[in-house]
Amino acid sequence: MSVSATSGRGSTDQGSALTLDEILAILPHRSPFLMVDRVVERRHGHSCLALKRVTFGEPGIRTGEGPALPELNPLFLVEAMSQTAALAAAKPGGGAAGGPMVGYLAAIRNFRAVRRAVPGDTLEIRAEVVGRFGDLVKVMGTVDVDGERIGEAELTLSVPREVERG
Amino acid sequence: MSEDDKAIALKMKNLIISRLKLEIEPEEIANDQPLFGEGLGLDSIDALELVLGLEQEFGVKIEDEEVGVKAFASIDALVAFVREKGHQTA
Repeated sequence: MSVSATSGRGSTDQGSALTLDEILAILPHRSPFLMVDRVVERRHGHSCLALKRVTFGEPGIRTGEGPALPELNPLFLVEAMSQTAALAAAKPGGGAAGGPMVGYLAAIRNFRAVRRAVPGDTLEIRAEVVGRFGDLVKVMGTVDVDGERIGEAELTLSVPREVERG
Repeated sequence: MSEDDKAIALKMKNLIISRLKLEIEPEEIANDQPLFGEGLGLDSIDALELVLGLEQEFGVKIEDEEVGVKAFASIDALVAFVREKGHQTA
């Protein structure tokens, strides 16, 4: 796995890592539907690189019949990209009473799942903001495993502007 | 409408059709037809796509919703908007 990490904390042009506490302060999702384990690098309002280890115990794993390996339902790749996109776009405590933000996935375009993820894989999830208009933010999302692209999508999030910036 | 404006209008229609994957022909969009609501039926997600398309293909930015409401009123309004922003030819 090759991912770039930055040292130190705080916002810089190069981005910064987020702790789990910081992730949970932004996203309302909780286990088992939290699809981000770590944030390696986040440039607020621009991009985010997150990691997620796929395990047997999560709800997205389906086993099917026969000798096929258990695999992650590809729709969970969309969820992982959407959560990473929200981390790129929103600030901590942007929701009501300073809690996690409330935003919504408004549209998915051109979703491709090239191959399936299996337990033991580490998803490298990237989200890059490519445009904004009103409360809508368009984000290009990708998921790689061991340097190989396994999924991608164009996502549109609805994020109230008061929680998006600042 | 000048020949240049007609060419820009056609380019706008093709931009809308290709960015939004509409299954219609350019001539089916009237120049004075409202693009949103009961006109062409576009919505706010389509507006974001068009904002990005205009920036990429015409080099013009729509800064906020207020400007967007005026610019996206019709093809005629879009042509006037990109003309105002300095776009010269199609």
